Amino acid sequence: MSTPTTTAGLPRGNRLSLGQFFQGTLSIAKREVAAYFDTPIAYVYTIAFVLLANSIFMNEFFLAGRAEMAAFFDSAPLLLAVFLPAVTMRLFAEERKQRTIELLLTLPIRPLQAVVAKFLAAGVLLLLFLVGSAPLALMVFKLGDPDAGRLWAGYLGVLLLGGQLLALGLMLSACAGDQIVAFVLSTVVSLALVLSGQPQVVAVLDGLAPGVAPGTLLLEYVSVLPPYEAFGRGVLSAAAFVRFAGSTALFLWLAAVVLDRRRG
Amino acid sequence: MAWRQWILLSVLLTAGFTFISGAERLLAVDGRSQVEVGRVQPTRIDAVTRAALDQLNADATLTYYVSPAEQMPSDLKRMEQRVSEVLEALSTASDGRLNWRIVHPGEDAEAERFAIDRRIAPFRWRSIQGDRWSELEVWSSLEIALGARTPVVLDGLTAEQLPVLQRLIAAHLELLERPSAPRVAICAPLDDYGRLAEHLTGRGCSIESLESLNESAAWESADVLVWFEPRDVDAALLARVEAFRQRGGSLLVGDSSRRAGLSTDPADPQLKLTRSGFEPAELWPAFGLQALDEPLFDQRCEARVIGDGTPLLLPFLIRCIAPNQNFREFSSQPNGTLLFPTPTPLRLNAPDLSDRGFRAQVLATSSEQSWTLPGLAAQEAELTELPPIRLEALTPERGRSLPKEALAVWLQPADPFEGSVFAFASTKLFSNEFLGLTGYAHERLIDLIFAEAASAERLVAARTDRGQAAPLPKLSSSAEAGWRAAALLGLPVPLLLLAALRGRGRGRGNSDSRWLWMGTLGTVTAAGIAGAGSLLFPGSWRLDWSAGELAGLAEQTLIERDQLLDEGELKVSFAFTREQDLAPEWRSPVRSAWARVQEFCKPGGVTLNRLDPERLESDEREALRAAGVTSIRAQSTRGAAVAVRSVDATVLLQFKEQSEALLFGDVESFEDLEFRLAFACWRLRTGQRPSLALVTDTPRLTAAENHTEYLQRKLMAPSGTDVWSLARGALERADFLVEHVDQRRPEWPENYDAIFWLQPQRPIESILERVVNELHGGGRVFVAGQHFHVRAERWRGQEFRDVYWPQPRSLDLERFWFDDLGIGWPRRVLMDVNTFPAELETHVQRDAETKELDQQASALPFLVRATTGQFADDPLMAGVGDQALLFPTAIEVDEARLGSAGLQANVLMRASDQAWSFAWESGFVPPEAFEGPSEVAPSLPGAPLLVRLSGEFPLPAEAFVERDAEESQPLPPTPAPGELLLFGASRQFQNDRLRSAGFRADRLLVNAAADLCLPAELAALAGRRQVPRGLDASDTQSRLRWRGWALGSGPLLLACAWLIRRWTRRAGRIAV
Repeated sequence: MSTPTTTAGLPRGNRLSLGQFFQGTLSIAKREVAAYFDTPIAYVYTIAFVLLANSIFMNEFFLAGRAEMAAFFDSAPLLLAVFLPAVTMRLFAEERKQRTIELLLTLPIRPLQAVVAKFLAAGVLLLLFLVGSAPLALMVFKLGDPDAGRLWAGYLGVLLLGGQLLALGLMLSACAGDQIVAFVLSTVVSLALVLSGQPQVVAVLDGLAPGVAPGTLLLEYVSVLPPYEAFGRGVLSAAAFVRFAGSTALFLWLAAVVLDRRRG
Repeated sequence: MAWRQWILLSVLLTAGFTFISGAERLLAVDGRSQVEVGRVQPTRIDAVTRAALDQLNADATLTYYVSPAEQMPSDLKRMEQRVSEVLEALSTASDGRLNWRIVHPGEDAEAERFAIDRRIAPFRWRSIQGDRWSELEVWSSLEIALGARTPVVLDGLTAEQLPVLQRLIAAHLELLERPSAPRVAICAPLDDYGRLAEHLTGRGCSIESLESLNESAAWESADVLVWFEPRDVDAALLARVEAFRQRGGSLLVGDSSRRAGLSTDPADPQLKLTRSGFEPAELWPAFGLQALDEPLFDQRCEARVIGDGTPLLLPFLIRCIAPNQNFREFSSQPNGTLLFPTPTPLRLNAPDLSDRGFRAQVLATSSEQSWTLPGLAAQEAELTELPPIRLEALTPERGRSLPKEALAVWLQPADPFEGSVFAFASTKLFSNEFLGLTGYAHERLIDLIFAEAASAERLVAARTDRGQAAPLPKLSSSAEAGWRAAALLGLPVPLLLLAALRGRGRGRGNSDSRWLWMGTLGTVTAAGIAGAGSLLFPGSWRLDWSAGELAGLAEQTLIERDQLLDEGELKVSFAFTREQDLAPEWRSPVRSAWARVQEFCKPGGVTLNRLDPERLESDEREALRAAGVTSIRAQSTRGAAVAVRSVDATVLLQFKEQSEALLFGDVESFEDLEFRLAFACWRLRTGQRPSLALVTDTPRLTAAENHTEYLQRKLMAPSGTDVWSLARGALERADFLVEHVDQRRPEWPENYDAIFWLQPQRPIESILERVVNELHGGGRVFVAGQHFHVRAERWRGQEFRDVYWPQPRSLDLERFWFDDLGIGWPRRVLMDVNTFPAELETHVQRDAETKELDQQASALPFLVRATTGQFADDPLMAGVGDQALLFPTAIEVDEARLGSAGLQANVLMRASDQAWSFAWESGFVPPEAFEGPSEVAPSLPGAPLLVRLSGEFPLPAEAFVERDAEESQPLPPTPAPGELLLFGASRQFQNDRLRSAGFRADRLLVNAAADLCLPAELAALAGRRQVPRGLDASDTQSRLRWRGWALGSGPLLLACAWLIRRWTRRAGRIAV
């Protein structure tokens, strides 16, 4: 009796060791990263993000005259909510449109490996975005004596938040058949996750149904801002890690589930 | 994906999120599951706090009085949890010497009684209910008790204080354990202020004296800086002082620009005024203040006996008696007279104050009998030394009357951690000569100020390290540009290089050349289109789709210009500082103004030139200054520096021998450019200059307030300060001449075109008689008044619940004449569904001794928002925008009786259709009156708020003013049609409300002045402003429906379209 196989020929019941899993994942991730840098994507996205984020920061930096990067960390969630969907929109939706998804799925890898590989590749781009703000950090350290703990915690917050938004975009890209749809869906959901933490939004939503306080419910259970802002204050809490890492893992797993069901 | 897959995905997502949230909650409860890595660590006890806790000799108890989370507004819901974390951390670190507890006064009556017994009061917080501003009463106060010492209470604790709560508590405990002396730095000429230093030392202050702030940096760590007679003030020094203030230090600062010398020749005593060397324009703009750089004199002044024993009035030594002082927000008052020698009065600059987050309170003023010699300042500019003035000649009749001028101002920052500024128009009262002067309360004044500036709360704020980032060092402009370039291009440039290298390595020459071709083609096409456009449409071609075509000049403006040009040539000079030296917010308005002036100057007969006075030769500049071009002091931002500098912003119109200089003092004044151009043409053509007699009084306390707050406590009640100065300035900025008339001692100017009477107050008979006579003779009058100012009160006996007391303003208009015409001024508190949020004065009386006057958020229906939909279609109401009316009075209009008196009434502004009112007689407004129309507060839909009456006004049947038999009644003028504008609201014209929170009451004033003084066609130009139309009143349900419509209609429409398409396709397939 033969073992049931996927279209890729990888036995379904076969367990991969951790080493094998990461080996396969890394090889795809490398291919994806190379693809970013072979096309204008990495250059255009990174330059656009860095110019925008750094310009917003520099606009007020000398006027405020304070050696801190709070302004950068304050603007980062909104910028990431727009830029990261642009990175993730094509990851699966374009493969499907160009019919290369079948090729990908026939490789001897599991869907989760493909998902994690693409996530890691997009993560490299996110890292590059953050590297782009390194001149700001250098400048702040050179000109003053900033609170280094808060600064590094802020960067960690951006990284975790970015990771969650990337995973979300990846999942929606796997679900959507078209990259524009994937982009719009990801942007809307990402913005909702960010804006539901804004005090004015919370106050208005609470005022619509004071008994239920929907704004507060969204703030406490859905919005990414409270855990993100805790990083900005220099507080690294296990709860915030669980929120970001858990959501990221959940989105990635769901993306893998969607892919798996598609190749059926 | 198929539907089933979407459903599966949703289920998995929900389950996943529920699991993650649960785990997150579990971890969040355990404080050990977090690490703090910043310098300020809210729940990790730092060395300073630990040391403070270790040194406690008695047990400390911290009690946090807080509303339960479900009763808290959204932004305070987590307060209890986060404060508890801090308190628990402190308790753990103290080895049991510090205990803490939470009390929920909002939850049960016993807890509330406990809080009230300890004089803890709730506070109001702005919230939003059903898309409408509302307010909530919440508790959030922390009581710090150490042994048997008097506890300290941190009132109104919010999330902003949380990061430094630990340090605040530690600082308070330390101060309770070991009270320490305030550190005071005195920078003033030591020969003159030695006694002040001695006095403060005697009061327990630790003094450090300095000659100059530049000599050391020790003052930067002081608690209070006394900076009297500042010299060589520059931007760098002001920046250091501002950093000191932002750190929490308080500042006493001031000087006068002149010194007075008196020749004591008994036969002919003379006053000699000399410049002191102090430049007010260098100092005050940094604090949002300005100086009236004219010598101030006052009939309420010091008298000296010279020669034969006759006391001689010295009007430059101004006595500020207790009624001219206002220390309502202090624990007490000086209880005596203050003497200000040769002061340089202070004026409030509302936009600048608001930019800096200051709330200004005038502490001392001159009297109603203040005056100046207008020519003196000009004479001073021309001569190096002023000739002596004979004291006999120094009389108010020879000068110009002034309203009460500010002599001491208290600037309170919005951020409670920042320090206050006490600004003085003269500091000589604290000098050796005057400090201990018998009969004056200067020592008591300095004690009072230090009781505030060096209070325990202030000392804690000044000494607590908030962990704020350190200020940046001063950078050169090239260093700054370098950092900018590095920050912006640090990564993009290497990335571009990398991209270029990778592209070359792959030999994509064709691709590169294609990009090059496309770029070149695009550039050439764009240039071609631009060139063709400029050839086809020479000049500034544009489409103006705005209502009233506000982007271009109105026909009437061009008519005014052409009428002037018919009589001669016009020369227009656009005298503005060049754009790159202006603050960024000025640049766009100046560009638009230049385009508009160019359009105005298009036809032949007008010469236009643009110039920057600072770049002209000195003689040309002097000629311009002589023609009226004056520079203003404006804040400008250049690179890193925020500096105050001289800016030119004047449009000068010269016609034959006359000239009109239109000065633009702030960015918002450009909105009246077109009206001012047309008005200037009219003035040049007719030679007329409309003037207004502005009748005002200082706001007075009610008899009840006077009795309970002052007389019972053996204090003098303040008589108030001039709160109408910004309204006066708004009218002057629109190029009307404004003459001040004091309501209590009216001195009427010889000629005026209209009377503006803001908030009549008892006794009104004398002014009303003049007004009626003017109207009877065809005069024009604007009267704005209201019956009440509503004040929020909290008494311990009322369990600190908010009650609202409508303080009567003694309007008195209802007692005379108006009733005969058919106009009623009912004493009702008007309320409306259309409201706006505002900070309201709230009186908190914790016990018989302690009173506080706070500004707390409010959004109750007596804050009436009159929207443009409630305005009549009349030029007077054009371009004024929504009006924020605080506690207005609805006017009753009986058109039948008015008609029989020969008058026509036109209601220009109404309350909404859902308005209601409460007929107040005494006491507080019952809470049910705020809920909406009811038996106690009947409905009053569309109540008139602003009414225009026109026609021949009858004289009253009986004279208002009783006169002696010998005193003759003024002769009534020949009857002629007059015009009267009656407005049931005046509070919005006061300084603190004139241009606040997006509402502009000054526009209505300017429109009214134009309406009353100018021909109708010209007056209509005053309303040509770009103003958004306000929303009409709507209830909560309707707002919710609109929200549903806005969010749901689009998706619903699309869903329907999709269903229809799907249905038609299916039908098509079945047919096939």
